[in-house]
Amino acid sequence: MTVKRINFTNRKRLTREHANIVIHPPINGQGCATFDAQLDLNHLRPQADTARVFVEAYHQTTRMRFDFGTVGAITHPARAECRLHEFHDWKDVLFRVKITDVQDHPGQLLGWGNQIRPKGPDDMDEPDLVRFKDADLYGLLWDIEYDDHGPVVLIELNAGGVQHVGRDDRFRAAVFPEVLRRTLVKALVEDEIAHDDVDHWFALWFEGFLKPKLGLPAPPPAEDITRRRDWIDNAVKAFARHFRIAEFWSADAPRPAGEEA
Amino acid sequence: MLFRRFNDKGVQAFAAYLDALRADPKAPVPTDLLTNPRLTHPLDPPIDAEPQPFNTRMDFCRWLHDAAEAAGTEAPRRDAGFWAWLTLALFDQVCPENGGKRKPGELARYVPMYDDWKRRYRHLLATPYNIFLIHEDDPVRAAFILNTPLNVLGEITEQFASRQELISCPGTMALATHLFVDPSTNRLKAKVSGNAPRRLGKLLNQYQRTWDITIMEPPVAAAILPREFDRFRK
Repeated sequence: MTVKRINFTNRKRLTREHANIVIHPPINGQGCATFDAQLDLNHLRPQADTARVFVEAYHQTTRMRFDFGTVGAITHPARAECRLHEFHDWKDVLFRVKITDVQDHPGQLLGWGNQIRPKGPDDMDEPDLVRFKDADLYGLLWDIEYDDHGPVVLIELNAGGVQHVGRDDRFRAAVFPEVLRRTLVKALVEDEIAHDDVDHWFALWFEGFLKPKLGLPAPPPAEDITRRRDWIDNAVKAFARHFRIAEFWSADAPRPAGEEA
Repeated sequence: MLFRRFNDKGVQAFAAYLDALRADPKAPVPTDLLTNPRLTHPLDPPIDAEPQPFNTRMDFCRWLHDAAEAAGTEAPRRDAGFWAWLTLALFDQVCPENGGKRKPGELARYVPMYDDWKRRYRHLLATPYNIFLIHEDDPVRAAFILNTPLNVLGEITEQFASRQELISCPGTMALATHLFVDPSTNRLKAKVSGNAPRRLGKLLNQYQRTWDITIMEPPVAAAILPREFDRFRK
């Protein structure tokens, strides 16, 4: 006999669309992994605006809890505060997200997502758009070339190539904004493609990433190069904000004396 | 006493003694095993501490923790050879004499059985020490487990130690201590026995899906429990 489960509590189940976790492995195996929580809790608003948002990382008997503010005012702790330093191996860590009432029934869960398996940086959306290739660059660490499918980032093999340099979070943080800038300049300024050219690889970039992830409007028409350059500047800044690029560096920066991780 | 660890042969020799002890409750403790170079290895880095009488698991955990900290290292918490060696070193407290006889329990109480999920949490020293470390920021919240003698596992420890979600949750641990520990004596209340720990374990497993017990003060969390827990709320 099957037993039907009935949710009497009105607790909302959070899916990956509501609560997605991206984990950032330690750089070159040093230090500890960090994570980002991408939370979209609009479906709980405004009724649950005052409810607290907690993200818990756990594995066996180890758990770490992180305060992400309230549903109405989500606050993302700095990357340095999202260090998974209590876990022996970050690959084991799962996450749960709790939306906790603090007003009418303090402690009651209004929403919860459990056993959330984090995505790794390799699962992030942008690498699908950017391909990497080992190359002999005669002194350069990286360069970029284009083919019919878009940009290919070349990485000096003698410096460690794609396996080492290309997977380094700090390298990505430093290089990806520039890859984006050069790629947009290539498509919109040099090639002067029409913004609605569905046959060009830029269409995939725009419809698959720039518009849904960064919320960018369509680029100005090809005749208006000045506005296109402004649009590119805005796109790069939006990219940096979305992925909190600067924090890739601040996470491991020396902290003031007496400040705990 | 410089801590050491048993190798496989050392663990086997200790297990053989426990078998012998079941046959002869007066069998003397083979303390010579502790320093036998064929059966043991020193820890690296070394940890040094003099054994002392421990009234509670909390006292033992603090002693071991302090010794490891003084050595600038951590106790090897997943090293079965270390825990077996330490158990023998403290055998008078882990398996005390009563009328000149000892009555050992199952092997898992003295030699950790990490590969057996039903028994891995039954070690008399390793399990409380792991719980102590989980709640190192405030071990008192685990008082219902840690303020108990070293030689008794106990139903309540079994019920919680076997459930990772409960044992690692500060809220559920604080709630159980609130219910089961008498604040005037810091010991378990007399009526804590039998079914209550088992029921609480099962209920908390359910409640954790409805309540965020971590942020609830223990009396508030206790108020959501059914009436059968009224006798512990007082």
